[in-house]
Amino acid sequence: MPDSYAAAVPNEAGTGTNCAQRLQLSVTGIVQGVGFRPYVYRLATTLKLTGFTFNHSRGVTIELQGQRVLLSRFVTTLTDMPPPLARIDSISQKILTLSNDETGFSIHNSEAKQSAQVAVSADKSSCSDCIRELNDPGNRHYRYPFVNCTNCGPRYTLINALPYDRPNTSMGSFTMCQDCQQAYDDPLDRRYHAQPVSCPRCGPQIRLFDQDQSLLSEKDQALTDCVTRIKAGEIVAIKGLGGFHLVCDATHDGAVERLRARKNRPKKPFALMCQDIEMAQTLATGSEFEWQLLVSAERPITLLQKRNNQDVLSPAVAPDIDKLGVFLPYTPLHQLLMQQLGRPLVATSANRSGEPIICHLDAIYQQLGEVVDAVLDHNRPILNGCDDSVVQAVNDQLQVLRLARGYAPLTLPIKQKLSQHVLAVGAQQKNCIAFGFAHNLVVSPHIGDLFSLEAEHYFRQTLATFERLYQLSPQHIIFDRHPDYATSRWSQNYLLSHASVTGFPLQHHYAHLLSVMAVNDYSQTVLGFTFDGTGLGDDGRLWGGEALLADTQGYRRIAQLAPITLIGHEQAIKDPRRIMLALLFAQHADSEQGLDSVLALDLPAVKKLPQQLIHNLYRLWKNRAACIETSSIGRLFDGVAAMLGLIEQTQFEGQGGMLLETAANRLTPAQIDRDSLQFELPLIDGVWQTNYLLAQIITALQARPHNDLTQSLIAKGFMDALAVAVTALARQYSHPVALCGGVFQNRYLLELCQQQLAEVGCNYLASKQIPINDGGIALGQLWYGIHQVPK
Amino acid sequence: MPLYAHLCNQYLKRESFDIHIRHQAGCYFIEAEGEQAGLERLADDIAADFLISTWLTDSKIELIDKLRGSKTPLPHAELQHDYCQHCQPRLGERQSPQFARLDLACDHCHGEQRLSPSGQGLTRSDLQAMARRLLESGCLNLPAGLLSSQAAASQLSLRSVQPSGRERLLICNPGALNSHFHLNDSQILALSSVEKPFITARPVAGHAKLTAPLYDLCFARNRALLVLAELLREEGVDWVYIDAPDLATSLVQIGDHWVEVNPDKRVAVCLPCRVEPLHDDAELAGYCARWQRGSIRVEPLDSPGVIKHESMSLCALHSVNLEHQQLKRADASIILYFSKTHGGQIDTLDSQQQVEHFFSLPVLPGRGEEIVASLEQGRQGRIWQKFSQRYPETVRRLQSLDLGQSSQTLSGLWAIAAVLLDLGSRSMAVADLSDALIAEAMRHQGTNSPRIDYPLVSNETHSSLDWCKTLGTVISFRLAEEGNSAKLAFGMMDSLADFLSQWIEFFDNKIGINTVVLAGSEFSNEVLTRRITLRVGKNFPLKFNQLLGIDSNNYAAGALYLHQRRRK
Repeated sequence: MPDSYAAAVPNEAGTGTNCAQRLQLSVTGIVQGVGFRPYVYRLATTLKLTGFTFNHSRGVTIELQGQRVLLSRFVTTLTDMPPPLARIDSISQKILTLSNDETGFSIHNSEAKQSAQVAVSADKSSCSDCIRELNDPGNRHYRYPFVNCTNCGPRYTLINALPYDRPNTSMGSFTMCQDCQQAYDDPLDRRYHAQPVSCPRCGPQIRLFDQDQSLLSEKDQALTDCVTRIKAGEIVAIKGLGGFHLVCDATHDGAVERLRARKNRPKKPFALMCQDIEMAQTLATGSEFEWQLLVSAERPITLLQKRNNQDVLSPAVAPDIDKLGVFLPYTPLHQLLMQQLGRPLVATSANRSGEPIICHLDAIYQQLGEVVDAVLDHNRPILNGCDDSVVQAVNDQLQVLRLARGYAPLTLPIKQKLSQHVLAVGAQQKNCIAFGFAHNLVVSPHIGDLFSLEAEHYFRQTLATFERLYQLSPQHIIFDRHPDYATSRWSQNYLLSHASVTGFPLQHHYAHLLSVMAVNDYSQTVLGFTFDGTGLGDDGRLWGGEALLADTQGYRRIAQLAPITLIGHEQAIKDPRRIMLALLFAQHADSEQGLDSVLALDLPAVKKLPQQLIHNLYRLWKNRAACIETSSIGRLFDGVAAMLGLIEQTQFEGQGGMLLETAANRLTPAQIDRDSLQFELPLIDGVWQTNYLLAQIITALQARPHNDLTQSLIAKGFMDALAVAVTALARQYSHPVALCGGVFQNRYLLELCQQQLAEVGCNYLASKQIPINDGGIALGQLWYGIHQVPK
Repeated sequence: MPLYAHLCNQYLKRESFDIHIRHQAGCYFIEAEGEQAGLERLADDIAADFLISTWLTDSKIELIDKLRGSKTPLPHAELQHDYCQHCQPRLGERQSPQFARLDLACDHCHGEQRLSPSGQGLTRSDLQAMARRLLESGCLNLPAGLLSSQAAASQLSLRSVQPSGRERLLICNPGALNSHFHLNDSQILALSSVEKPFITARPVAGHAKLTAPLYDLCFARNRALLVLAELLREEGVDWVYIDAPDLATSLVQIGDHWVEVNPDKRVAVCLPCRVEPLHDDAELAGYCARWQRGSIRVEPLDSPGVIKHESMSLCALHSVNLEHQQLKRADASIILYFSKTHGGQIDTLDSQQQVEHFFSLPVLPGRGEEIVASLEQGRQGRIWQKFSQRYPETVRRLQSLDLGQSSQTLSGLWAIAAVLLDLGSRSMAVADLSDALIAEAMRHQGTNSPRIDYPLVSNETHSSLDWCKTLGTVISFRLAEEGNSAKLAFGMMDSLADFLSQWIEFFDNKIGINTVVLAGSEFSNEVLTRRITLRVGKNFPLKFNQLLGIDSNNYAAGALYLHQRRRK
């Protein structure tokens, strides 16, 4: 039960259980657009209670009259068994004077005034009732790609304003037919006040367009034609719930390769949509927990272990790594498509690399005209874009990698009421925003990397959406300390033009740690390991491999990775061989021969490089020209992956870590028993000695044959050393431990750390539904902010 | 650095320590032996005495095992400055009893010995009268030789004196600098450095008086100006216009280094030279370079002489290699050469020292009508038509543009873009319009911007730009969104930097590039230089002149190494 129930029943007018009483219940939480009022109606009429209910910007109000015992049963049922998509944060009760002229229970129109305090629901996948109707030839929704009800369908992506009523959604322009209107008005129908309700007669329709934007077909024929084209190896953009997907037949080598070539995405794995769990199980393996994640109402893209012996998929779907991102159809349109197609589909967000998901037909042709062969569009506008969520299971616990459709907007209730609005604008990459008001902390869906004007626009658009929905007017803004982040610049400009607003710049990795504290509602001291890419530290250097002792008021850095040089700044992130070389140059810095010693190393990754390049990079390194140092463990992963010859140019973020994880996972138990390598990462004076670790790796690499087994053993040894270093430090403190930062998306490392921490009895704070990558930064910033501002 | 050599010599005279001094490879050393506490005091003294120089790259204190210096004073050129941080408060601040005593003796810099003849007789009342004259008449002609050479007239003024071109300001109230200009820490340090250079800065948005896009600022560079500035500051004057034609142009920052475009014309430069040049002397662009065994002396000519050579970029490249002692090394280099007066080229020199001319900036039509006609008739004709309909005034303004001598320069291209973006400008002069675009780019916050296309077109000998297409993308972006001029201006520079880095990578794959050389006055464009430094510098060591200017005396020095016969 939520903590904030005002559970005590107020003073009673009578004492007998059969006495009549009138109660007013005020309910907050996710209570709009989730079938809450019909549920209340059905419950009240079943219990023969009179009264009414209505939506308003703060939630739902219910007035009930009847026998006290029945009123009590109503409250218990509502709190114990709310509608499937609802989340009740609080119920307060007030006794009212009895009304004499009431004959039944009714639902009143919504009241639109005051600041919104209700949480906007995330979109949900089709429910089983709707799927049944979709496949029932006798049902009026048969093969209708937009069938939905109060238990499923779009919410966030079509809402324009609160309260959540049809005129405030993108369905406002569709007039309901008689049948739909009847269902909408019938409190006993599961479509009662389902705002997106529609049918083939009155609702949105699909249309298939050719590459040259000419209309090919409509309605069911469009779907059939679309399937034919996909089967023929074409690439189709399909408009879904929160944006377009680019899809192609995942079993068709040519189609997948073509999609890679046209999107200029050589390696980054594609997500797969499977018709059902059975199809998914032919392609990947997973635990019971993982299959539950896959079929959950959120229908996230779930990272699963690729099945070794499957030969159905094109190898180009997820080259070089042992994971597959799989998801199931979550809209009726996807259901129909997959039923007709009967084979796995590559389904990747339609966008230009690094830019936001595309939601409009025009933008598809404008931005991806060269990529698509056809476009399956529909005429239900997407008001708020929303990507697919990505999750994985770590030790059978949920880890969200991208918080979006199904999960977000995510609302976390807090006990203490906030008297002022607090806004946190997140990081530069994997940006999302978060804000706090009243008893709520709200995290937006994933916005993306703010490296383009389009992405910056999308950031502002998302902010505007939440400002509109919640009449958000921040009195406090928390932003990253890095002055060049688009979010920091936006904040500074906002502060300049709003003199009464206070701003709090916050260190990036501290915010990572705070996000884990927030999702655990924890504000005491924690020991946090922030293993990440790069973020600006408070000393002006780039951090990313720290141990912090922190609470909500500040932190102390108790350990850090010895600095690694990035030759050419961010170019070293794109080309990890530069990190490898910098590590090698540093290893041989004391030697007279320096560069020659590096050139003489028997390392295939070095031998493959043109000598001229090594010379140039050595000169840059030696003169400290275009060089910057970082304590980032993400970069150490990159350097080691390059040293093992696993990576040359980074095709997507985190690739080095994924390749190391894949290599380690390749080892059989027998190989581990027989050949395991153990490395050490000692901590001396608060600095993890990178050089010492690398010296061991280089020695092993030179001593062993250059083959896959050596790569795998070193990859495992490297990550094992990190886990041992984490546990060794954690043992010295009695505080709960949090592991955060993008590096801990590496399942091998995280599972190992969790296991070892458990073995030594450390109390571990999980990241739960908050991404431990930069997607969680906004919540961490917010957690800091709400602990600084006046209550 | 004559001042540093002078100070080393001063320290050599200290008897409380056994001091040795040394100058080697551009570094000045003071070595001292003594007790810890005494050495710490000495270090504090050194830190206080050694004024920051724009040429200072590093300073540190190290424990040494043995002395390598000597007791011999270091030779040095004549000191230029006549005040330091020790005498400045005494003679330059109003409350000091010694205020305005130009002959005040300073034990540290001995500036009283270096007063210019025209400054020597000036008394406090003379200076007060000069300040009054300036305030009353709005203009003050400075005595010959006080600021510039004897021949050149110089003046201070309360009002803008030039109809076009970038104005120069003498800052009278350094404390108010940030309320008038956007300046970063390194720019402020440079302004107060011993060299007292000009630094380019953008005024704050909406400034009531400073309406030009960019200004060149300086602090008082001699005692007389120091006192005048203080007298004016007392009267509420934060800056005055300064006109002194033969002073050096603004310093330019490339990476962490300051460089000169046109050094002070009164100063000759001597460079060590290990590789005997192919010619004994060379005259180019107003300078003469002469080889004397082991060194090259470059000095200004009284008459301009040969102004331009077909191989200006190659001369610039040789001069950088000369400065960096790389004339004989088998290093392949590429030069990005963009000059406001001599065009723009990209040339490569491979490991066999073979030259390849890769790129020249296109010759833009000189007159606005021709530019408009080209845009109308090109492949972007349709978009141009839309643009003309929406912005007829802009098109009329463009028609009145005259690129003059700048038709083959980046500044010319910037000027057209400034007009297309409707940026305000003091005049239709290329320099003003170009400044307007640069200032607009400086205004852009962040690094995300639209990508402007710089497609190459090739002829038989080299490549050039399809400038119509470049401007076509500018027009398209302007049509797509109003009020995005800062983004577009920045995008023009950043996209060019990106294209340049791609072209260099192409050459790296072809011949293997060891060094990228930057030269030419277009590098005074802060945004372009920063973006090139970032985009190119992350892959290749960057080299440029620091002893010589990047668009002046460097040509003559480099011309000594030109293979071809020189034509006079």
